[in-house]
Amino acid sequence: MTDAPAADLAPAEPTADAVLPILDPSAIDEFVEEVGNDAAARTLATYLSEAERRLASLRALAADQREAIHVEAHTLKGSSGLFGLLRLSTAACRLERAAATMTADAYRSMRNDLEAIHLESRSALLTYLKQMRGVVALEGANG
Amino acid sequence: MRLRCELNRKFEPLGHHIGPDEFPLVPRMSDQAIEDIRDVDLPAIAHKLLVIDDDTVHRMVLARVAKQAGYETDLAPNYETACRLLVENTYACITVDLSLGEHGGLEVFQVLAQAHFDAPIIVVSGSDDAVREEALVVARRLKLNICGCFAKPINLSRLRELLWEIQKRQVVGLTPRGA
Repeated sequence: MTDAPAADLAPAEPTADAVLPILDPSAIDEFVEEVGNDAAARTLATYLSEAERRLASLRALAADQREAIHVEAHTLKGSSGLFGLLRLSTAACRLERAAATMTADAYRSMRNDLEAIHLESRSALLTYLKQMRGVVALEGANG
Repeated sequence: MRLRCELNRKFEPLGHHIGPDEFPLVPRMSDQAIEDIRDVDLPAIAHKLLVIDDDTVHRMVLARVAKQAGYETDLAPNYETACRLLVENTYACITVDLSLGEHGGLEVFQVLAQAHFDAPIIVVSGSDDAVREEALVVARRLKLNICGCFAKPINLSRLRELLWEIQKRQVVGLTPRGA
């Protein structure tokens, strides 16, 4: 893998992503409504642990392990989209699409971007989970 | 008898009640026919549904939605497990992810075709439209009974409705055939 030209260093469309919300509340509300509070809490906890495992896997991959990067990014795109994590899903989609041709530097940049967005997404999801558990506890006390 | 006639007669394209990310594959029953099967009891022993998806999160979610639609589910995280479960069990419905790591959903299609599997199959995929459409062309060539195709992130309520409809149709002996 050769070093990237300067133009490859910046991830594509960074400003477009910035306007996307980290968490789309309507998407996650819809998810919780569909599967129920308990299943939603279990699934979200699994998602968080899986997402971290996939990011660790991406950290261990070199840019020329293109197929493996594509698979990890594809899965991260799909699962984060399920919970309305729009910015993360979009960043994962960008990495998935770039996987076949990107340079090592472009990969590093996109991966760092992905990790930073994941931290924000994780924080938003944990806040949501706490609120949800509060609501469940409240409903239990009233019921 | 009226129910059966209604089910046979009132098929129409599903397109008007599904979103742009899903393919209109199942002939849609009329509202009256849906109303008629609403009270059909689910089978005493739940029909089995196989979820083939390499993503743990999607397997959990699909299993949950299938359970809500009255199915008992088996989960296959990869091609090899899917092949083994298909040999060991009889399934009333299958969901297939097109991307399964080393193997693709198309390889699962080949296995299903060789086994003359004719129960409803629902494709669930995060791949782009072109990949999904190509997969559907292959599935049709293999004469598989593709009854739905959902883009990820999945519209869960639509999926639950489709599973519910398939389950109820199977109960009255009118398993849907994909278009």
